[in-house]
Amino acid sequence: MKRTGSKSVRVLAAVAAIVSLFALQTVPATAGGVDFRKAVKNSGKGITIGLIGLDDAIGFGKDVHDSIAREAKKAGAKLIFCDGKLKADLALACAKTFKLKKVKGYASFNAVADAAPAICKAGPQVPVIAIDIEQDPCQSAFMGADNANAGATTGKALGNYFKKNFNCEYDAFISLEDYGVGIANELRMGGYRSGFASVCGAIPADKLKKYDAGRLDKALEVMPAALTTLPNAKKIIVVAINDQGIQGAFSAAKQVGREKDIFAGSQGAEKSVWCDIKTNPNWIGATAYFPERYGEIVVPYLIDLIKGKRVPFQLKVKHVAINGANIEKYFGKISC
Amino acid sequence: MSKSKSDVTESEGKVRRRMPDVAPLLGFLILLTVFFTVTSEYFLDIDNFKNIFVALAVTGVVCIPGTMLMIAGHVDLSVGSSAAVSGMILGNVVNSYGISAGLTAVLVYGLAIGIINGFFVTVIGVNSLITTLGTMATLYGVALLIGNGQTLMMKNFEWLGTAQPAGIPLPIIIFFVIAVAGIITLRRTRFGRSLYAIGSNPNAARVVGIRSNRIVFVTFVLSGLSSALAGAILCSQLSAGDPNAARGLELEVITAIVLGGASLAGGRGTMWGTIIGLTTIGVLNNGLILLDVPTFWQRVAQGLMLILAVSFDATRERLAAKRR
Repeated sequence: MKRTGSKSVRVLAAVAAIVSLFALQTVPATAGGVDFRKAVKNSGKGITIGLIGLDDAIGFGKDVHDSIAREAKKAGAKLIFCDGKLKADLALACAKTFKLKKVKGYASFNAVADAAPAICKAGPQVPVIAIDIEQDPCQSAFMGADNANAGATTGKALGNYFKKNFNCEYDAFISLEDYGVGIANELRMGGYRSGFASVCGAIPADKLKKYDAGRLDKALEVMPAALTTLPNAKKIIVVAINDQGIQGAFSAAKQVGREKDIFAGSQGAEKSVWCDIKTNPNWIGATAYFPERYGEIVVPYLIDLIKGKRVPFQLKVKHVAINGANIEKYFGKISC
Repeated sequence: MSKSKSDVTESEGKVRRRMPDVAPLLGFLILLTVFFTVTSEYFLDIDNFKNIFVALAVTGVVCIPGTMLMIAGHVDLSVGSSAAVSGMILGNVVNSYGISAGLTAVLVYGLAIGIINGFFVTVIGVNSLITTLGTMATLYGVALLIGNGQTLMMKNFEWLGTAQPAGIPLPIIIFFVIAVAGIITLRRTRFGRSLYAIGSNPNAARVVGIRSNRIVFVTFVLSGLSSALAGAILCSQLSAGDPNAARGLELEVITAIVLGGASLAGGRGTMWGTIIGLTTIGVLNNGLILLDVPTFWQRVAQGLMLILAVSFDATRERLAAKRR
């Protein structure tokens, strides 16, 4: 499987990613990436494409699946969906099924990057778009989140808020991480810190507290104890690897009557937290990933690849920092 | 063991009379196969059947000693985590010291985990459910520790999971060999017959001279070895050790065994039943994917199938009891 994007294109994309990190200094709301493209009607007529799903039991994975199904239908392409359920062995079986069903190209949201070589080998030798997780050596293009930029986007929004309201003074910077997701955790959480530091300066070591508590249940478990160690603090910044971590943090803070003491930033801006973001003034920002629009990148570019057109290797989403003031601009009227 | 010949013959007779137990499930499997053959053009394809049985092989390898344990009235919940640790060990050792060292390490690990489980159950006397629940949690932590939560890439060890001598995938051959050994052990050896006796009535088994603890201990060791082998096959198929691999394997194993007619209370079950149960699950999973059934409906169908099959079996048992 050849990569359609040339080496120079990928080098340029990498440079662009680095440049965009610096560009955040002046353009805080969005990061670099490609625009969403609505699938052109009948552009995929007679083409069968596949999707190895992340896990339909996870909201993010289901949104991505639904958006790809929607755009494939719009394009007139036949979509074969196979749920990887976060397991590499299932993704491997999916690839074999795609080979059997003779798909012309597929998108892979296999969760275990290290198993990608085996999956690529077992599947059909056709164009592959990797979603959010590298699928070397068969990925023709990489579509998805720009984790570092996503973190930096909301980190910067938090910095701006603290500069405007508290002259960059704060008591602690709590980072609710998920070490189980590896490099994505480092990129996202490091992104928060670099984004915040770009406005308010580097975070002193004694103020930075990291916990392996990115999930809702873990955040709920850890945060009361974390707040106990900060008895008089009134300006606590809390960032989490996803929205659920912040939901857990606010629930925990509420339990101990400290919900006004924390100022939060998250990643995802999933539908389940739209009302929280809109109504909670202490939820300062959430980086939108737009999983419900992933299909608007995956489907048209996959069809282009199948038709032999050149496609850039990096197809990253343009992230946006969502807050109570701009949420309806991006997601429409929200009734809470 | 000082079991009389007449006792043994009676046990064999019981085993023979149990054979029809799998008939309803076999009928269901045939119906499923016919249904998917008619509804999907891809189902009746040699490559697809290879896919089905390769996917089943990992679970199947663990199901064989798992059936023996369940017949003896025990369960091993640690097999999934154990397979994950096995894969992580293999990934580490193969990358540093080569394949032979990796396989030796996995073998030693499998023995060790079987001995630990067996020791706590038979020597200390802790319930097997509790013991293996503990080792399951511990081993999951160990798997994460080994790779610091990350997967481990592994090179030059694809053959165990992907080689196809004479066109038959090696994992299928391994499963076949272990299954045949399991069938023979259960039906033709004193060890196998003792498992039924222990599961039916542990006290009576002890009274007639069966060394229950020793037999259960050995079965746990076999279970440990099989989970290590399953982890190695999975790791080889993926060319990577994944601490989250094989999570939920224990439930898949129990489902296949129970579906095959074994009793959770012990004393009842056959290797053929387990193999047919396992195949039924594999065919159903594969067929639903081929038919593009939405994933949530796949889960519903899988759950319903289990309830239906077990209910059917229970009804048949009740009717048979009435006739007696």
